[in-house]
Formats: sequence, structure tokens, C-alpha cells
Amino acid sequence: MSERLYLEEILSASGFRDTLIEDVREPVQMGSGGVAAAVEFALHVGPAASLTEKQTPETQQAIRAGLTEFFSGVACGENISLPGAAWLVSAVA
Amino acid sequence: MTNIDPQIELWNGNSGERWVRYRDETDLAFGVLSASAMVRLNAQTGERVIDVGCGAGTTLLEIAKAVGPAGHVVGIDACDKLARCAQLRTAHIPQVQVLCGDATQVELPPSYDALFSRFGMMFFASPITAFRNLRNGLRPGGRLVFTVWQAANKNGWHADLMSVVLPHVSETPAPPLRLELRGHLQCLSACI
Repeated sequence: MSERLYLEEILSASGFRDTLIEDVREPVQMGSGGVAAAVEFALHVGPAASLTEKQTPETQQAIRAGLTEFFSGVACGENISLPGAAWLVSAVA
Repeated sequence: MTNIDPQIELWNGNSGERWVRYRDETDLAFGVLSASAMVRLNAQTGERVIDVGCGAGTTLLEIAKAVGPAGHVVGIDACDKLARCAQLRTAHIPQVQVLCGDATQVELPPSYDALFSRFGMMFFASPITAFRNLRNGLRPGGRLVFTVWQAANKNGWHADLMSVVLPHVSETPAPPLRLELRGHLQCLSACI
């Protein structure tokens, strides 16, 4: 089952009609600017945050170093963004 | 004995606190996607709007501006820290109300024109139950507008970061949250 169909089924079963699902692709900005800010953001918000939090200080340092290297490689000036993809869903009650 | 939804428990732990602290950066991260949803919502002067998973309150502020003093916005968030932050940020706006609670159970009068959410609809243990309950707050013909993440492999901000982190950890991370936790699709979590 596709994600679109899945969403439509949930909404239909919940009593909504005229469902419209749009594919939205936009960059997700990582932090307020620069590599250091991007690393801090990634370590505190997002999929890596909860996982990193549970690690030993040594492992956290290694993850921080890995993220610093990664963001340094993708930085375009001060702006650091990564691809984002969402469904924009609308329907009527 | 009350069963506490693990998601709500998680958000009321460190996750909520981190999101309050990094709220400005989070708004920057999701700003463009959020703007698309606001355009689709197209809230009008005097309208009554529900904002599910209102977080630290940024979307409440935007909707409150659109509906004006003649309108009404109720924000719902299960995380007490985020709800408190939203309350503080909107305390000066009379048309805004913030509820800290589970959207699956909250009772709203069937008087709202629109139901909105920026990445707040992916955490329900039972999505159909939650959507049905929220729909009860809409008037007939009321509109629903929300965003959910697509699959993790389409979201570099998830997949790329995990490819950096995972080699350093021994445990298997929890699978990405889905609109239905026990479903087989990969609708990505709004990141905790």
C-alpha cells in the first residue's frame, strides 16, 4: 500500500472526504548558520538527538566529530540545509 | 491503572525540553514546509481553528494573526513543557487558548472551521481514533490541513544524519514513527 493510499484510508475511516495529498520537497535548514550551529541542532533536535543522548561521553564526542565532518562537507557558506520531503494533506469534514 | 502512551511519556522527558530550547532553530528548519501548510490552511478573519501538536506556539501565533481578535485558536500539545512555552508566548493574545492533553481524548465543541497541524499528527497510538475525535471538533464542511514526513530515505535530514550516528552506537534505534505505529509504511517521525 502506498503512503498516499494509507493516508486516504485513515482519513476516510475517520469520516473525512475530498482528501488531497500533495508532495512537498523543501530544504530543511540545520541550525541558525554555520557548522557548529548545525551540529548543535542535530544533537538536540531530530532523529540523532535521542539516540546520542543515551551514549557514553566518549561516544557522544565521536558522534559530534562525525557530524562536524559531515556538515563541513555539505556546507554552502553559512547556510546548511538537507533535503526534506513531506506530504501536505487536506480534507473536508 | 492508566496506560500512558509511550510517545507522550517520551515528549514529557528530555525531548520536550530540547524542543523548547531549540524552538527558533526548529522553526527555521521547518519554516518553508510550514509556510506551504499555512497557505493551504488559508485561515480567515473570524475563523475558529484547532492546532494539533502546537509545540512551542509558533504556528499558534501565525494562525492567531490570520483570524484576528474575532477568531479563536486552540492549541493542543501532549508535552507539558511545550504547552507551557506556547501558553507563555501567546498569553497576550486573547483569541488563543492552549490545552495540554492527548488529542485522542480532548473534547472540543463541533464549532471549529479548520483543523491544522505541522508535523503533529504522527504520534497517535491509534490514528483513526484520534482523527475521529478531532473531527468531532469541526463543523460540517470544516477543513483539515496537516503535514507529515515522507519516508526516511527521502528525507536527507534524517537518513544522512543517521548514517553518521549509527556506526557509533551498538543498539538498534527505534523505527521511525509512522502515522500508524503498527503500520508498514515509513512515514517519518517529526523527530524527537
